[in-house]
Amino acid sequence: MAVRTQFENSTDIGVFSKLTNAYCLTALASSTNFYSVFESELADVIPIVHTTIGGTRIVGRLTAGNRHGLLVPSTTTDQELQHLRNALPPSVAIQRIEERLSALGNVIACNDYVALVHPDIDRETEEIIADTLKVEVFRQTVANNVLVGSYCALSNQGGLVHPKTSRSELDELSSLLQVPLVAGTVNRGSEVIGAGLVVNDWCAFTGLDTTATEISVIEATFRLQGQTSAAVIGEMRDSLIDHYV
Amino acid sequence: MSSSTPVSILSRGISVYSIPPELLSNLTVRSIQAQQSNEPSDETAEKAVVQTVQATLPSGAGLSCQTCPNTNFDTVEEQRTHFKSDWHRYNAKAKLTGRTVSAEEWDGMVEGISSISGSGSESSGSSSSGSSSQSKVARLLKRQTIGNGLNPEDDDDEEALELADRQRRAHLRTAVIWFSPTTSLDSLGIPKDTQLGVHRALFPPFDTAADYLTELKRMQLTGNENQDGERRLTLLMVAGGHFAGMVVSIRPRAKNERQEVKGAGDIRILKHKTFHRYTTRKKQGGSQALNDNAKSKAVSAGAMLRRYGEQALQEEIRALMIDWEEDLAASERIFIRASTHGKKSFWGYDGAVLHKTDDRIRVFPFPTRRPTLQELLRCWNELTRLKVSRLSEEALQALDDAYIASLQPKNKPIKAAPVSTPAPVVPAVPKLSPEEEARVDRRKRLEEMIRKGRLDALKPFWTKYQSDYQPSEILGFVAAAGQEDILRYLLEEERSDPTQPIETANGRRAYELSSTKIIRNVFRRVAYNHPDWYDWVNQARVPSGLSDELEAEQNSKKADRRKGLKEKLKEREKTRLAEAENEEKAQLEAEAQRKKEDEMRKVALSLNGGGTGNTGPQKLGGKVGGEGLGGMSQEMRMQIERERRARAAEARFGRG
Amino acid sequence: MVAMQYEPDSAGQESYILCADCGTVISSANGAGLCVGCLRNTVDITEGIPKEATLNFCRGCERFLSPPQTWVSCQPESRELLAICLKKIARPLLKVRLIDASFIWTEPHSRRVKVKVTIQKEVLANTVLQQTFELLLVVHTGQCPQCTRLAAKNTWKASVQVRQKVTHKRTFLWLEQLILKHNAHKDTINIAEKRDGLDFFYAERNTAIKMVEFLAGVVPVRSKASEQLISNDTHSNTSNYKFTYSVEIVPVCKDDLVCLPRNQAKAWGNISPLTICSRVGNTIHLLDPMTLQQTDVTAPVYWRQPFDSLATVTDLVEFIVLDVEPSGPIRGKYVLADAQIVRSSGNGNNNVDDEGMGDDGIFHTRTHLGGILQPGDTVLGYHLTNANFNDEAFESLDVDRIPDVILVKKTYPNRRKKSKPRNWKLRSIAKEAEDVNESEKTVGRGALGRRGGVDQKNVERDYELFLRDLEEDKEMRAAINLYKAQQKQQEEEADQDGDVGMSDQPTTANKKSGSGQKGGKKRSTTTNTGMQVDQDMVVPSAQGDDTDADDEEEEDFPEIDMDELLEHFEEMEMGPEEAEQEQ
Repeated sequence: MAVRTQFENSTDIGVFSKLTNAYCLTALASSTNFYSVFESELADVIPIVHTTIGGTRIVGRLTAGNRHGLLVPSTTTDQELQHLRNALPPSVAIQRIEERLSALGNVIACNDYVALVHPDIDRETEEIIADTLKVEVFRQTVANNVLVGSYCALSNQGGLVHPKTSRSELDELSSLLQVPLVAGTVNRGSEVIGAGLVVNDWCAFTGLDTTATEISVIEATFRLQGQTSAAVIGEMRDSLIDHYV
Repeated sequence: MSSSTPVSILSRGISVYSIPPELLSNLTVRSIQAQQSNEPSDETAEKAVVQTVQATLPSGAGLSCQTCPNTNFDTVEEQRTHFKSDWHRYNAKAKLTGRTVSAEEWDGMVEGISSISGSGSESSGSSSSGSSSQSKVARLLKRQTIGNGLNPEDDDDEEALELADRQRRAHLRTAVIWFSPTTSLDSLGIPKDTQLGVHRALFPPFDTAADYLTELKRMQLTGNENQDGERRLTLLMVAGGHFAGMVVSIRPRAKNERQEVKGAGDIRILKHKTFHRYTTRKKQGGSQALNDNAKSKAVSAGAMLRRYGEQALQEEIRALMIDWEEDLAASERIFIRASTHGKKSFWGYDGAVLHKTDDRIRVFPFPTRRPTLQELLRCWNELTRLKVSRLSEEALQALDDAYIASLQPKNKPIKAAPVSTPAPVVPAVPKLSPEEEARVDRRKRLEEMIRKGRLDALKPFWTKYQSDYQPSEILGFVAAAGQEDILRYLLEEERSDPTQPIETANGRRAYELSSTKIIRNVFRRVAYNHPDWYDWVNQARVPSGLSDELEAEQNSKKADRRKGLKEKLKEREKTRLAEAENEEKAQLEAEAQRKKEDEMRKVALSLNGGGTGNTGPQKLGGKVGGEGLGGMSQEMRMQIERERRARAAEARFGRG
Repeated sequence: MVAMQYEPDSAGQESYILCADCGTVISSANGAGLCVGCLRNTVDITEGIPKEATLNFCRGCERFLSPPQTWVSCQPESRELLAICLKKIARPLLKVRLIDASFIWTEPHSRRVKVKVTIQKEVLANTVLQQTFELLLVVHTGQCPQCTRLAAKNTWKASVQVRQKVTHKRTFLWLEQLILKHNAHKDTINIAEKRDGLDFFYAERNTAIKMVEFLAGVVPVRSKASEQLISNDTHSNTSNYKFTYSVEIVPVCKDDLVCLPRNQAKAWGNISPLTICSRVGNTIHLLDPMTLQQTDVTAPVYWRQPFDSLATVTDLVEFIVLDVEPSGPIRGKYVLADAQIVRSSGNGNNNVDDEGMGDDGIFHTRTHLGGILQPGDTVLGYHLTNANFNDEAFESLDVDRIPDVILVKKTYPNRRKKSKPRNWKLRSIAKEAEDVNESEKTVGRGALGRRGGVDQKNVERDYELFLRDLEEDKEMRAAINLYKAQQKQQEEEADQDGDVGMSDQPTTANKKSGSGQKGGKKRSTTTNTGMQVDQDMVVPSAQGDDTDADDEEEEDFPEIDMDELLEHFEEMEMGPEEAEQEQ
């Protein structure tokens, strides 16, 4: 299911929220509307955490994470870190990163297995990403943009990338990520995919401006049609168990 | 060229310690001294192409990298490894500024050490950036030409002595000892003009070339675990607050053994450790201790932290050394990268495990990057893999000469046997020898000729240099360029083989690169005329032959179709013309009408003062009867106008 | 290794996405993520640009208002009109890029002007949309302020009446050149010739005052201001006046003979009462030719006690110098000399003087022209012996002390006779106001004398004299602009006039010019039309140099140096339209 929502009249919901298969972060808003939308979809499945990062509400752009872990920038305060630690499942590793490119959400795009990162990111950071998120890390650009996190949205099922990504680049990236990729837009033609869309393996939230066409592209790309959280979680658990046995 | 031979073992990368016996027995040391006596220079045309070890093999998979030029991968894994390679990382950044580097350029840029001459060793600690390496290359080229000029082939005794001396020094200085097989080993896929390089640092210091070979043979693993024991090397690096160290077994990891270090492959890492302390100020660089020594002691909080970090790092390293004491004692070689200050962590204190004069200690004979485990692995691979280069005798000779010439003349005392510095700093030999440059140049010329369709010029060129190129590749280029004459020449007269896959085009065949139908027809016609030459359908992927009759038939069909079309077109044109004529007439009439009107309007306007601008005195009246002028004839209007002017003049004069 | 570049198939480089609105496959190159149709549906880049506007058109002068307050006459569908139309939407156009604008044809009587405007604007990110729209302009007719004033017969607000009570126009000709030189007529809306002078009309009072001040600066004048109440608004207490400035120029001109009242002559440095006016600047320079004594009379001083000239240039008679002998004093360019002269006119050659001053008719006189006179020269002077003056001051003079002749200036009849075309010209404020029917024949001198008949002849004569004055007086020349005459015309004239069988007309003209006084400007009215073109400033040559080589000519004829002349007469000449506006 792809759900349209907005954050205080802004359609860039990817800026104010972070969704993974294991948790969801939302910014503190003046009303709980935004939160409620997430809650209605995700409650009882994964924890939804109200938080700020470094006192700001742009949690989606400052953090990067997947089901294995969450990376927060160095601006994150200790209280916030503590709050996150308390709110997130224990299986999720939280790591604060000293990185010049502190908007981690913009420079890292990841699913549970692979991460694309900004070419200029620190080598140490790269190692931390690999360790914390348990992913393979590739320094890449998307349609000649270094901000890979801003211009693509990834899940384990598929990925939506910047509309100007050429076909050959799509091929290359999808062979890298091992998921099908589609070039597309959100929020009625916006190319900042990361800002307009948060997605995990069974549901997606998009900005309120997103058109039906875009929704259908998103649902097809991320295979959200008929996907239920239970099935996905079950599958995930299976694979988890597989993995650890 | 290598692609045409059976899969070479060289493509896998051979460990120095496990060289196949048949190869080992055939090796000779190719030192500069040895070179003197040994000059068999046979084939002149054979100019080998420098190939990277990971030469791509033809495949139809079409996996490539958009960022790096000329990349092709067999498997997704290969592609993914490529995406993690430094080359790709560099290109990912370089792409944004618009210039990416090819694999060769990259090798030249970063691995200055592994340049084919094997003697370059810039001691700069960091990998060079694109622009600086560019200028470096330029500088080197310049130096080379000067060096050549300074090295006249005189028979003067003194000169000869000088030369001999230089050769000796050169021999002592090269960072890599080159071996070459005496014959080509087809079973291993090693052609003759192949050079295998081993870092000198792995050997004890020797004076004569032959010793290296015996040592190399001695160094080999027997394959018997018990006999070998646990032979190991230690790699230690400390820089900028980072420490990385590992003890590696020379014996590769067996399949069933557990690998705990990611990306280590079959390296058997016995111990490894990395840690980091905050010792160096970001951006400014330099350790705190240095800063303190240079100036007065800084008292900032950061300085305190750094001082503490340095102290802690040193203690941690020392503790680790004690921890690893056994392994260090058992290591055959200990490679250390550390600044003067950093070396204090390893020796020169009470209870030091290592001693400064230990002859196992080596520095890394190539630039290394920030000490991480991955970097250690890279260095390990760099150190213990055989380097492969393919150069003809002449090219090597030329390189040697250039290198020797570039050495300083002997007025400084020659250093004693380089114990502590097995690979002293020597000026790097330029990467592009004149031969290579000529080759590159020729290639350019060839492409130019093909592009411009200069068959006459091409013919002598091709007969002369044919062997330099892979025929299929050239065919592909010709086909892509759409030069049918050249293609026909190559196919029929030169019998260039179109069945070979073309590496640079994802292993497609020349036929598939044809740009036009005419080109495809050339292929097909040759296929029809000489069906017995190659397996046209399967190998060359030419679908079917094309006979003259067939073509004629096709042409006539086409002509028929065209004729029908043309007639129709004509008819349509005719009707259109007629219409256009009518229209034009109407338009002309309208135009004439409009012109007349315009003129009238103009006259009317000029009567009424058409002047622009508001600076000068302006005519004010006049347009009293103007409205009525519209319907009058030209003459009448003129007359009225005249009268009006006369009146105006009168009024103006008043009475005089 | 040189990489062999195979062009990758272009398909691989393209990228396609679905249009966010309608779902059709589009190339993502447009950057908006929408197909062109959807993009057009969503954004209207012409938003905020008015599609209708009004054009103000003056019916009287058929001009369009170019905001804010200029009125421009322009052809329908002309560039100027297009500029005016686009000015109507200039502000909103700032936000977009104007690509093209053109007129759509409409019937003129529909009073509608349609302009097709193509604009571009960047919409969303990196997407430039181009759109074309029609701008409809309704032509509102009205009157421009000038026409309003004209309709109310209220064309000028201030006038300057310049008068000089003399019989000739030379002062005004001189004034015209000064005005031209200083561009003082810039704001003049009309110039009218009146008896004894000119009227200048102005739209604003201050420009009239400026003119008055200009005049006061160049000639000795007195001026009087008066105003006429046109209307008065009692509510706002504002009144509407017309102002008239009357400027009177001193009636004494250059080379006039002046007889000062005795007491006045005493007051001005005890100068001899009988003086000639040597120069008129913004003061009058009087010179006693017997002693070279000079005095300056400023306008206020003059008007306190005005005097008139005794004789003017028309009374000058021609003499031939027999002998001249400098007698000592030199003052500036004047050299005092004793001269023997004889009347050069035909009747004076062998007649015996009534007063018995010698049968030979030789006069002895003292002159200030010693520097330039040579025996044999022709000179102009006042012949006082047989002159009758009705002047109090003159009568009070001691008869014995009155000289027979007062020489005023040297003349060059031989040279004049040849009448070489002048190599210079003057501009005039207005072109000749020719009648359309006989534009070829009429003559006129600038702002003056365009009425023809007797008056015209006088004007012609005055003009010729004025030109000669200019030629002979360097100081005078320096104050005004002279222009090079067209060489071609001169040659043409030389060709035509060089033939032996000359028409009688130039010969008669020669006789006239020989007298120097009565000879009006020769104007070949009948010979041929080729010569007529703009010859007004040029005296046609009567004889070529070669046919007349034996005739002696004055060597010291004051040629005007070519360096003094200005180029570009033609360019500075006002076009016909401009001239019309000056009415």
